[in-house]
Amino acid sequence: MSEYRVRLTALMIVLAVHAGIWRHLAVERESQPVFLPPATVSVTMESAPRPMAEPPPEPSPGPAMPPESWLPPLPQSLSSSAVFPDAAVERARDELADAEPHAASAPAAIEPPPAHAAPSAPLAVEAPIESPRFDAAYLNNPKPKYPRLLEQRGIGGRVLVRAEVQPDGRCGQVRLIQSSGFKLFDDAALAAVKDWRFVPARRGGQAVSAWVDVPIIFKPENAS
Amino acid sequence: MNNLSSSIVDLSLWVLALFSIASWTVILVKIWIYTRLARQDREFHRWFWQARSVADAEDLAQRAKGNSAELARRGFAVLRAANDGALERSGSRRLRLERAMRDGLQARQRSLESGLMLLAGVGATAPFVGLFGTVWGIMDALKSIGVSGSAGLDVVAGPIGEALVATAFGIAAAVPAVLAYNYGLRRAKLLVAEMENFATDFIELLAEE
Repeated sequence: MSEYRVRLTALMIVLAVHAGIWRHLAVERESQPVFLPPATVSVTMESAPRPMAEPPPEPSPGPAMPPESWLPPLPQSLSSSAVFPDAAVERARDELADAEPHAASAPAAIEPPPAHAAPSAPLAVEAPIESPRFDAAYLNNPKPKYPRLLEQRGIGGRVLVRAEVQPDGRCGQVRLIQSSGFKLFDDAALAAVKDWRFVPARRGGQAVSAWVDVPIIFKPENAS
Repeated sequence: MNNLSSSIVDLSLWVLALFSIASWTVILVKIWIYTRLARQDREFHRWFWQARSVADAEDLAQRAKGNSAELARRGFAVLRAANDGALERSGSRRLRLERAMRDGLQARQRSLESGLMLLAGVGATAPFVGLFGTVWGIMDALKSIGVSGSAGLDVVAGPIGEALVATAFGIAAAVPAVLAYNYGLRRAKLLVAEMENFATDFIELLAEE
Protein backbone atom coordinates (compact mmCIF):
# COMPACT_ATOMS: atom_id res chain seq x y z
CA MET A 1 0.00 0.00 0.00
CA SER A 2 2.51 2.54 1.17
CA GLU A 3 4.78 1.48 -1.62
CA TYR A 4 2.27 2.67 -4.19
CA ARG A 5 2.12 5.96 -2.41
CA VAL A 6 5.88 6.22 -2.56
CA ARG A 7 5.83 5.44 -6.26
CA LEU A 8 3.21 8.08 -6.87
CA THR A 9 5.10 10.64 -4.83
CA ALA A 10 8.31 9.88 -6.66
CA LEU A 11 6.55 10.21 -9.99
CA MET A 12 5.05 13.53 -8.98
CA ILE A 13 8.39 14.89 -7.83
CA VAL A 14 10.10 13.76 -11.01
CA LEU A 15 7.34 15.21 -13.17
CA ALA A 16 7.52 18.51 -11.37
CA VAL A 17 11.28 18.73 -11.72
CA HIS A 18 11.13 17.84 -15.40
CA ALA A 19 8.38 20.33 -16.05
CA GLY A 20 10.44 22.98 -14.31
CA ILE A 21 13.54 22.23 -16.35
CA TRP A 22 11.54 22.05 -19.55
CA ARG A 23 9.91 25.38 -18.89
CA HIS A 24 13.18 26.97 -18.01
CA LEU A 25 14.75 25.78 -21.23
CA ALA A 26 11.75 26.76 -23.29
CA VAL A 27 11.72 30.23 -21.82
CA GLU A 28 15.38 30.65 -22.51
CA ARG A 29 14.98 29.54 -26.04
CA GLU A 30 11.97 31.58 -26.94
CA SER A 31 12.42 34.73 -24.98
CA GLN A 32 15.30 35.94 -27.02
CA PRO A 33 14.22 39.29 -28.25
CA VAL A 34 13.78 39.83 -31.89
CA PHE A 35 16.06 42.52 -32.96
CA LEU A 36 16.21 44.06 -36.29
CA PRO A 37 17.78 41.70 -38.75
CA PRO A 38 19.90 42.80 -41.67
CA ALA A 39 16.80 43.45 -43.70
CA THR A 40 16.46 46.67 -41.81
CA VAL A 41 20.01 47.70 -42.31
CA SER A 42 18.43 50.70 -43.91
CA VAL A 43 18.82 52.27 -40.52
CA THR A 44 22.55 51.99 -40.60
CA MET A 45 22.72 54.55 -43.36
CA GLU A 46 22.45 56.96 -40.53
CA SER A 47 25.82 55.83 -39.42
CA ALA A 48 26.95 58.22 -42.09
CA PRO A 49 30.46 57.49 -41.06
CA ARG A 50 31.74 60.57 -39.41
CA PRO A 51 35.39 61.30 -39.43
CA MET A 52 36.98 59.30 -36.68
CA ALA A 53 37.82 60.73 -33.31
CA GLU A 54 34.97 63.13 -33.63
CA PRO A 55 32.42 62.83 -30.87
CA PRO A 56 28.95 61.83 -31.91
CA PRO A 57 26.78 64.75 -32.70
CA GLU A 58 24.06 63.54 -30.44
CA PRO A 59 24.92 65.49 -27.30
CA SER A 60 25.27 68.73 -29.22
CA PRO A 61 23.56 68.33 -32.53
CA GLY A 62 25.71 70.89 -34.18
CA PRO A 63 26.97 70.26 -37.68
CA ALA A 64 25.61 66.82 -38.19
CA MET A 65 22.00 65.91 -38.33
CA PRO A 66 20.03 65.96 -35.12
CA PRO A 67 18.73 62.63 -33.89
CA GLU A 68 15.31 63.47 -35.21
CA SER A 69 16.64 63.56 -38.69
CA TRP A 70 16.70 59.86 -38.99
CA LEU A 71 13.25 59.40 -37.60
CA PRO A 72 11.52 59.30 -40.98
CA PRO A 73 12.73 55.83 -41.91
CA LEU A 74 11.57 54.54 -38.57
CA PRO A 75 8.01 53.84 -39.53
CA GLN A 76 9.33 51.79 -42.37
CA SER A 77 11.63 49.68 -40.28
CA LEU A 78 9.11 49.43 -37.50
CA SER A 79 6.41 48.24 -39.79
CA SER A 80 8.73 45.68 -41.26
CA SER A 81 9.41 44.37 -37.82
CA ALA A 82 5.78 44.46 -36.89
CA VAL A 83 4.94 42.04 -39.63
CA PHE A 84 7.55 39.87 -38.12
CA PRO A 85 6.00 37.41 -35.71
CA ASP A 86 8.80 36.63 -33.40
CA ALA A 87 8.41 32.93 -33.62
CA ALA A 88 8.95 33.18 -37.32
CA VAL A 89 12.67 32.93 -37.13
CA GLU A 90 12.54 31.15 -40.39
CA ARG A 91 11.20 34.17 -42.13
CA ALA A 92 13.93 36.24 -40.67
CA ARG A 93 16.34 33.70 -41.99
CA ASP A 94 14.76 33.86 -45.39
CA GLU A 95 14.98 37.58 -45.47
CA LEU A 96 18.53 37.32 -44.43
CA ALA A 97 19.23 34.88 -47.16
CA ASP A 98 17.54 37.18 -49.62
CA ALA A 99 19.49 40.12 -48.42
CA GLU A 100 22.78 38.31 -48.70
CA PRO A 101 23.16 38.30 -52.48
CA HIS A 102 22.45 42.00 -52.71
CA ALA A 103 24.98 42.78 -50.11
CA ALA A 104 27.48 40.60 -51.85
CA SER A 105 26.92 42.08 -55.25
CA ALA A 106 27.18 45.66 -54.10
CA PRO A 107 28.89 45.75 -50.77
CA ALA A 108 29.50 49.45 -50.79
CA ALA A 109 26.12 50.40 -52.10
CA ILE A 110 24.15 50.79 -48.96
CA GLU A 111 22.03 53.56 -50.22
CA PRO A 112 20.77 56.07 -47.80
CA PRO A 113 17.05 56.54 -48.12
CA PRO A 114 15.97 59.74 -49.75
CA ALA A 115 15.37 61.44 -46.46
CA HIS A 116 19.07 61.28 -45.78
CA ALA A 117 20.46 61.76 -49.14
CA ALA A 118 20.95 65.41 -48.51
CA PRO A 119 22.90 65.33 -45.25
CA SER A 120 25.10 62.38 -46.02
CA ALA A 121 25.80 63.12 -49.63
CA PRO A 122 28.51 65.70 -49.14
CA LEU A 123 30.39 63.35 -46.89
CA ALA A 124 30.01 60.36 -49.09
CA VAL A 125 31.02 61.93 -52.32
CA GLU A 126 34.64 62.75 -51.78
CA ALA A 127 35.51 59.45 -50.11
CA PRO A 128 33.52 56.31 -50.68
CA ILE A 129 33.04 55.16 -47.14
CA GLU A 130 31.62 51.82 -46.36
CA SER A 131 29.73 52.11 -43.15
CA PRO A 132 30.34 49.69 -40.33
CA ARG A 133 28.14 46.65 -40.09
CA PHE A 134 26.90 44.72 -37.13
CA ASP A 135 24.67 42.25 -38.88
CA ALA A 136 27.09 39.92 -40.62
CA ALA A 137 26.26 36.44 -39.45
CA TYR A 138 29.80 35.44 -38.71
CA LEU A 139 30.10 38.17 -36.13
CA ASN A 140 27.95 36.00 -33.94
CA ASN A 141 26.62 38.94 -32.03
CA PRO A 142 24.48 37.72 -29.15
CA LYS A 143 21.01 39.08 -28.79
CA PRO A 144 20.39 41.29 -25.81
CA LYS A 145 18.96 39.61 -22.77
CA TYR A 146 15.29 40.24 -22.44
CA PRO A 147 14.69 41.72 -18.99
CA ARG A 148 12.65 39.07 -17.24
CA LEU A 149 10.47 41.53 -15.41
CA LEU A 150 9.32 43.20 -18.60
CA GLU A 151 9.10 39.93 -20.44
CA GLN A 152 6.70 38.55 -17.89
CA ARG A 153 4.41 41.50 -18.35
CA GLY A 154 4.57 41.27 -22.11
CA ILE A 155 6.13 44.67 -22.47
CA GLY A 156 8.16 45.44 -25.53
CA GLY A 157 10.16 48.42 -26.59
CA ARG A 158 12.58 49.90 -29.04
CA VAL A 159 15.98 51.21 -28.18
CA LEU A 160 18.32 53.01 -30.49
CA VAL A 161 21.94 52.70 -29.56
CA ARG A 162 24.73 54.58 -31.21
CA ALA A 163 27.99 52.71 -31.06
CA GLU A 164 31.50 53.73 -31.92
CA VAL A 165 33.07 51.09 -34.08
CA GLN A 166 36.81 51.08 -33.83
CA PRO A 167 38.99 50.01 -36.73
CA ASP A 168 39.57 46.62 -35.11
CA GLY A 169 35.83 45.95 -35.06
CA ARG A 170 35.43 46.37 -31.36
CA CYS A 171 32.92 48.67 -29.86
CA GLY A 172 34.23 51.82 -28.29
CA GLN A 173 31.67 54.01 -26.65
CA VAL A 174 27.98 53.39 -26.72
CA ARG A 175 25.30 56.03 -26.36
CA LEU A 176 21.64 55.82 -25.88
CA ILE A 177 20.07 57.73 -28.71
CA GLN A 178 16.48 56.85 -28.19
CA SER A 179 15.24 55.33 -24.99
CA SER A 180 12.50 52.76 -24.90
CA GLY A 181 11.13 54.37 -21.79
CA PHE A 182 12.31 51.46 -19.70
CA LYS A 183 15.68 51.59 -18.09
CA LEU A 184 15.88 47.80 -18.17
CA PHE A 185 15.59 47.73 -21.94
CA ASP A 186 18.04 50.55 -22.36
CA ASP A 187 20.59 48.91 -20.12
CA ALA A 188 20.18 45.51 -21.73
CA ALA A 189 20.60 46.97 -25.19
CA LEU A 190 23.62 49.04 -24.22
CA ALA A 191 25.26 46.10 -22.49
CA ALA A 192 24.66 43.83 -25.45
CA VAL A 193 25.91 46.26 -28.08
CA LYS A 194 28.95 47.08 -26.00
CA ASP A 195 30.15 43.48 -26.42
CA TRP A 196 29.39 43.21 -30.07
CA ARG A 197 31.89 42.87 -32.85
CA PHE A 198 31.46 44.91 -35.97
CA VAL A 199 32.73 45.03 -39.45
CA PRO A 200 34.63 48.29 -39.25
CA ALA A 201 33.90 51.12 -41.59
CA ARG A 202 36.28 51.45 -44.48
CA ARG A 203 37.50 54.39 -46.35
CA GLY A 204 39.10 53.17 -49.50
CA GLY A 205 40.05 49.81 -48.11
CA GLN A 206 41.38 51.09 -44.82
CA ALA A 207 39.48 50.43 -41.63
CA VAL A 208 38.52 53.58 -39.85
CA SER A 209 36.53 54.21 -36.77
CA ALA A 210 32.97 55.36 -37.21
CA TRP A 211 29.65 55.56 -35.49
CA VAL A 212 26.75 53.35 -36.26
CA ASP A 213 23.19 53.34 -35.03
CA VAL A 214 21.87 50.01 -33.89
CA PRO A 215 18.15 49.67 -33.48
CA ILE A 216 17.12 47.01 -31.03
CA ILE A 217 13.56 45.93 -30.73
CA PHE A 218 12.31 43.97 -27.79
CA LYS A 219 9.18 42.17 -28.61
CA PRO A 220 7.37 40.04 -26.05
CA GLU A 221 6.65 36.58 -27.31
CA ASN A 222 2.96 36.61 -26.52
CA ALA A 223 2.38 39.71 -28.57
CA SER A 224 0.88 38.68 -31.86
CA MET B 1 9.60 18.29 -45.26
CA ASN B 2 10.21 20.94 -42.70
CA ASN B 3 7.12 19.94 -40.78
CA LEU B 4 7.98 16.29 -40.73
CA SER B 5 11.56 16.88 -39.69
CA SER B 6 10.72 19.25 -36.89
CA SER B 7 8.06 16.86 -35.71
CA ILE B 8 10.57 14.02 -35.69
CA VAL B 9 13.06 16.07 -33.73
CA ASP B 10 10.25 16.99 -31.36
CA LEU B 11 9.19 13.38 -31.14
CA SER B 12 12.64 12.29 -30.12
CA LEU B 13 12.69 15.04 -27.52
CA TRP B 14 9.38 13.85 -26.12
CA VAL B 15 10.53 10.25 -26.04
CA LEU B 16 13.64 11.35 -24.18
CA ALA B 17 11.54 13.29 -21.71
CA LEU B 18 9.49 10.17 -21.13
CA PHE B 19 12.65 8.10 -20.68
CA SER B 20 14.01 10.57 -18.24
CA ILE B 21 10.81 10.74 -16.21
CA ALA B 22 10.52 6.95 -16.06
CA SER B 23 14.14 6.39 -15.11
CA TRP B 24 14.16 9.08 -12.44
CA THR B 25 10.97 7.70 -10.95
CA VAL B 26 12.52 4.24 -10.81
CA ILE B 27 15.68 5.70 -9.30
CA LEU B 28 13.83 7.44 -6.48
CA VAL B 29 11.58 4.46 -5.76
CA LYS B 30 14.47 2.01 -5.83
CA ILE B 31 16.58 4.10 -3.49
CA TRP B 32 13.69 4.24 -1.08
CA ILE B 33 12.98 0.50 -1.31
CA TYR B 34 16.61 -0.56 -0.92
CA THR B 35 17.16 1.69 2.03
CA ARG B 36 14.01 0.50 3.74
CA LEU B 37 14.74 -3.20 3.08
CA ALA B 38 18.30 -2.90 4.33
CA ARG B 39 17.09 -1.34 7.57
CA GLN B 40 14.31 -3.90 8.04
CA ASP B 41 16.66 -6.81 7.45
CA ARG B 42 19.26 -5.45 9.83
CA GLU B 43 16.68 -5.10 12.57
CA PHE B 44 15.13 -8.47 11.87
CA HIS B 45 18.46 -10.27 11.99
CA ARG B 46 19.30 -8.69 15.29
CA TRP B 47 16.00 -9.63 16.93
CA PHE B 48 15.87 -13.05 15.32
CA TRP B 49 19.20 -14.16 16.71
CA GLN B 50 18.37 -12.73 20.11
CA ALA B 51 15.15 -14.73 20.35
CA ARG B 52 15.17 -17.21 23.24
CA SER B 53 13.22 -19.93 21.49
CA VAL B 54 12.16 -21.04 18.04
CA ALA B 55 8.59 -20.13 18.91
CA ASP B 56 9.64 -16.60 19.80
CA ALA B 57 11.56 -16.36 16.54
CA GLU B 58 8.57 -17.55 14.58
CA ASP B 59 6.35 -15.01 16.27
CA LEU B 60 8.87 -12.33 15.39
CA ALA B 61 9.00 -13.46 11.77
CA GLN B 62 5.22 -13.24 11.50
CA ARG B 63 5.20 -9.63 12.63
CA ALA B 64 8.38 -8.32 11.03
CA LYS B 65 8.75 -6.94 7.54
CA GLY B 66 11.49 -7.28 5.01
CA ASN B 67 13.25 -9.87 2.88
CA SER B 68 14.64 -12.07 5.61
CA ALA B 69 11.39 -12.03 7.56
CA GLU B 70 9.59 -13.30 4.51
CA LEU B 71 12.17 -16.06 4.04
CA ALA B 72 11.78 -17.02 7.67
CA ARG B 73 7.99 -17.14 7.28
CA ARG B 74 8.38 -19.47 4.32
CA GLY B 75 10.72 -21.64 6.34
CA PHE B 76 8.41 -21.87 9.32
CA ALA B 77 5.46 -22.61 7.03
CA VAL B 78 7.40 -25.55 5.58
CA LEU B 79 8.18 -26.84 9.04
CA ARG B 80 4.56 -26.56 10.14
CA ALA B 81 3.09 -28.22 7.08
CA ALA B 82 2.07 -31.80 7.76
CA ASN B 83 3.80 -34.34 5.60
CA ASP B 84 0.82 -35.65 3.66
CA GLY B 85 2.88 -37.46 1.10
CA ALA B 86 2.59 -34.89 -1.66
CA LEU B 87 5.85 -34.41 -3.51
CA GLU B 88 5.95 -30.77 -2.48
CA ARG B 89 6.12 -31.77 1.14
CA SER B 90 8.28 -34.88 0.79
CA GLY B 91 11.91 -35.27 1.73
CA SER B 92 13.91 -34.45 4.78
CA ARG B 93 13.47 -31.25 6.73
CA ARG B 94 16.67 -29.91 5.28
CA LEU B 95 15.59 -30.67 1.74
CA ARG B 96 12.23 -29.03 2.18
CA LEU B 97 13.75 -26.00 3.88
CA GLU B 98 16.29 -25.60 1.13
CA ARG B 99 13.63 -25.77 -1.49
CA ALA B 100 11.52 -23.12 0.24
CA MET B 101 14.48 -20.84 0.79
CA ARG B 102 15.62 -21.11 -2.80
CA ASP B 103 12.16 -20.26 -4.07
CA GLY B 104 11.87 -17.38 -1.68
CA LEU B 105 15.28 -16.04 -2.60
CA GLN B 106 14.53 -16.16 -6.27
CA ALA B 107 11.22 -14.39 -5.88
CA ARG B 108 12.82 -11.66 -3.78
CA GLN B 109 15.70 -11.27 -6.17
CA ARG B 110 13.34 -10.86 -9.07
CA SER B 111 11.40 -8.11 -7.34
CA LEU B 112 14.59 -6.42 -6.18
CA GLU B 113 15.93 -6.26 -9.71
CA SER B 114 12.66 -5.27 -11.33
CA GLY B 115 12.95 -1.80 -12.74
CA LEU B 116 16.69 -2.04 -13.15
CA MET B 117 16.11 -3.35 -16.64
CA LEU B 118 14.31 -0.13 -17.44
CA LEU B 119 17.34 1.84 -16.28
CA ALA B 120 19.62 -0.31 -18.38
CA GLY B 121 17.36 0.14 -21.37
CA VAL B 122 17.20 3.90 -21.01
CA GLY B 123 20.93 4.10 -20.48
CA ALA B 124 21.59 2.13 -23.62
CA THR B 125 19.04 3.66 -25.96
CA ALA B 126 18.58 7.29 -24.91
CA PRO B 127 21.77 8.49 -26.61
CA PHE B 128 20.66 6.84 -29.81
CA VAL B 129 17.23 8.35 -29.67
CA GLY B 130 18.85 11.75 -29.23
CA LEU B 131 21.27 11.04 -32.02
CA PHE B 132 18.43 10.05 -34.26
CA GLY B 133 16.70 13.37 -33.66
CA THR B 134 19.92 15.24 -34.31
CA VAL B 135 20.74 13.35 -37.47
CA TRP B 136 17.28 13.99 -38.77
CA GLY B 137 17.55 17.68 -37.97
CA ILE B 138 20.92 17.98 -39.65
CA MET B 139 19.71 16.05 -42.64
CA ASP B 140 16.88 18.50 -43.04
CA ALA B 141 19.16 21.47 -42.57
CA LEU B 142 21.45 20.20 -45.30
CA LYS B 143 18.50 19.57 -47.57
CA SER B 144 17.21 23.09 -47.15
CA ILE B 145 20.70 24.42 -47.79
CA GLY B 146 20.74 22.41 -50.97
CA VAL B 147 17.42 23.87 -51.99
CA SER B 148 18.25 27.46 -51.17
CA GLY B 149 21.73 27.13 -52.61
CA SER B 150 23.27 29.40 -50.02
CA ALA B 151 25.62 27.93 -47.47
CA GLY B 152 26.25 30.85 -45.18
CA LEU B 153 27.18 30.06 -41.62
CA ASP B 154 23.85 31.45 -40.50
CA VAL B 155 21.93 29.04 -42.69
CA VAL B 156 23.94 26.03 -41.55
CA ALA B 157 24.62 26.78 -37.91
CA GLY B 158 21.12 27.59 -36.69
CA PRO B 159 19.29 24.39 -37.58
CA ILE B 160 22.24 22.19 -36.71
CA GLY B 161 22.63 23.85 -33.36
CA GLU B 162 18.96 23.28 -32.74
CA ALA B 163 19.20 19.67 -33.78
CA LEU B 164 22.10 19.04 -31.44
CA VAL B 165 19.80 19.74 -28.52
CA ALA B 166 18.36 16.26 -29.01
CA THR B 167 21.76 14.64 -28.52
CA ALA B 168 22.36 16.68 -25.41
CA PHE B 169 19.04 15.55 -23.96
CA GLY B 170 19.75 11.96 -24.88
CA ILE B 171 23.01 12.02 -22.97
CA ALA B 172 21.40 13.87 -20.10
CA ALA B 173 18.81 11.11 -19.83
CA ALA B 174 21.29 8.25 -20.23
CA VAL B 175 23.99 9.21 -17.77
CA PRO B 176 21.91 9.08 -14.57
CA ALA B 177 20.21 5.93 -15.79
CA VAL B 178 23.50 4.10 -16.31
CA LEU B 179 24.90 5.27 -12.99
CA ALA B 180 21.72 4.30 -11.18
CA TYR B 181 21.67 0.93 -12.90
CA ASN B 182 25.12 0.04 -11.63
CA TYR B 183 24.32 1.35 -8.19
CA GLY B 184 21.01 -0.48 -8.04
CA LEU B 185 22.54 -3.73 -9.22
CA ARG B 186 25.12 -3.53 -6.48
CA ARG B 187 22.58 -2.74 -3.79
CA ALA B 188 20.39 -5.61 -4.96
CA LYS B 189 23.35 -7.98 -4.90
CA LEU B 190 24.24 -6.96 -1.37
CA LEU B 191 20.67 -7.47 -0.21
CA VAL B 192 20.51 -10.87 -1.86
CA ALA B 193 23.82 -11.88 -0.32
CA GLU B 194 22.49 -10.99 3.11
CA MET B 195 19.38 -13.03 2.46
CA GLU B 196 21.47 -15.97 1.37
CA ASN B 197 23.50 -15.79 4.54
CA PHE B 198 20.38 -15.71 6.59
CA ALA B 199 18.83 -18.58 4.65
CA THR B 200 21.90 -20.76 5.16
CA ASP B 201 21.97 -20.03 8.86
CA PHE B 202 18.25 -20.61 9.10
CA ILE B 203 18.54 -24.01 7.44
CA GLU B 204 21.46 -25.03 9.64
CA LEU B 205 19.53 -23.95 12.70
CA LEU B 206 16.31 -25.77 11.99
CA ALA B 207 17.22 -28.66 9.68
CA GLU B 208 18.14 -30.97 12.55
CA GLU B 209 15.58 -31.69 15.21
